[in-house]
Amino acid sequence: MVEKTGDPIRDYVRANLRTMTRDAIRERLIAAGHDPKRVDDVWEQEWTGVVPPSPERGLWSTAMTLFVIGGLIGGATAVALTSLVASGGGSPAAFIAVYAVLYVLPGLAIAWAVRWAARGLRISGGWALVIGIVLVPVYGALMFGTCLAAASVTRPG
Amino acid sequence: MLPVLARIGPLTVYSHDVFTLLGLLVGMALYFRALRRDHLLEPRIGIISIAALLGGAIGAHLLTSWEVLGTVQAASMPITAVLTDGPRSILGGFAGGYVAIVLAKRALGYTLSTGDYYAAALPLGLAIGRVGCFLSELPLGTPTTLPWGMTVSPEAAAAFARCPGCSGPMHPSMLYEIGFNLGAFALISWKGTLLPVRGDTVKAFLLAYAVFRFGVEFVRGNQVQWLGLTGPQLVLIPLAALLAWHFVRQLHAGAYQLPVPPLASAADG
Repeated sequence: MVEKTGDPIRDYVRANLRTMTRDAIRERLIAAGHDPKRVDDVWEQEWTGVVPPSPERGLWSTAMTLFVIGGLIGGATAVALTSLVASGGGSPAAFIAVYAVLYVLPGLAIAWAVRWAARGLRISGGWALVIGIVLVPVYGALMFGTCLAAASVTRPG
Repeated sequence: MLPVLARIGPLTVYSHDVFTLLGLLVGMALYFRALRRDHLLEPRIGIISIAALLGGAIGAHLLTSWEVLGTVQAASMPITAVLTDGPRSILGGFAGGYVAIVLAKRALGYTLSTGDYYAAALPLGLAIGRVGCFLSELPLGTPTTLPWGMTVSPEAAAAFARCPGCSGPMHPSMLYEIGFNLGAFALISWKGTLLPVRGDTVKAFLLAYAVFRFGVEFVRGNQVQWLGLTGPQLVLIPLAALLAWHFVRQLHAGAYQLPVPPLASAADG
C-alpha cells in the first residue's frame, strides 16, 4: 500500500509510478488542471525512490561464479579437444596450459581495465569490476573460438 | 548489390556485418540515452545489456540451426557448425534477447520495467541493419510487375546458390521493412510512449512488427517450409500469439482504464 501524503499530485504519482508511463501520468494530471511544472517536479522527486536498490555483494559473487564457470566450461572443452591437438602434432598439456593462461590472466586484466576505464563514467570501482568480470567469459568464448579455428586449420586430411 | 564495402589488405569489410554492427550501436546508444534521461543508467543495466546481446546472438543462431543441421551432418562437420556457419534470424535474436533480459533482471533482483526504453531503439536499429541485408542478400523478394520492382545483374545473381526470380523485377522486401521500421521509429519518437502502461509500448511495437513481417514474408522470397508458410512465418505465429495474449489479458484486467486524478480545483478547495 502506498503511503498517502495529502498532496493530490504526489499521491497520484506515487500510486501509479511503477505501472504507468511518465507521459500517461503527466497527461492525466495536466488534464485535471494541475500545474505542469509542479507535476514534473513531483515526478522527479518521487522517481528517485523507485530505482531498484543494488545488491552489490550478491552481484559480485554472481560475477565471480560466472568467471569461474566460464573458465571451467572452456577448460573442459579444451580437454575434449586434446585429441584433435595431438593428431595435429601438438602437445595436449601445452594446449590446456596455454588456454588456462590465456583465460585467467588477460581475463583478469580485462576486468581491471574496465574498472580503470569506468572511473570517468562515475561507476564505482566495485561495479566496474563486476562488469569487467562478466565480460571475461565473452572474451573466453572468443579466445576459444580462435583456438578452435586455429586447431581446425592444422587438422590433417 | 554491394556485399563488400571495402577491402583493406587481407581484411574484407562486408556490408551486412557493418550495418548489423551499426544498427546495434545506434540502438544501444538510443537505449542508454533514454535510460539516462530517467536516471536509470547504472552498472546493472550494463550487465542486463550484455546478457541481452549474448542471448540475442545465441537466439539468432539457434532459431535457424535446424535449417542447416542436415547439411552439417552430411558434410561431417562438427555439430557446433550449426551455430557458427548457419544463417542468423532477427526473430531468434529478439526471442533470445528477451529471455536473457528476463533472466538477467531476475538474477540481479531488478524489478523495474525497462522495456519501453527499447521502444525507439529497436525499430531504428532494425532499419539500419536491414540496409546491410538489402545490399548483400538475394533474392530481394518475389517476382513482381509493380513499377518499383527491382532487378539485379546476372553476375550478382550467379553468386547465390538459390535465387528464384532474380532474372526479372523483384519486390524490394527489405525496403518495405526499412520503411515500416522508420515509420515506427518516427511515431514512437514523436509520441514518446504509445500505451499508458509501462513496458507495453515495446510489446505493441513487437506485435506490430510480427504482423507486418508475417505479411512481408509473402513477398520476401524465402523458401516455403510447411502449409505454404516460410520458416519465419511459422516462428512468428507463436510469438505473435504470445504478445496478443498479453494484450488480451491487459484489456481483460482493465489495465488501460487508468485512475482519474483529483481535479486541481477540488484539491485546492
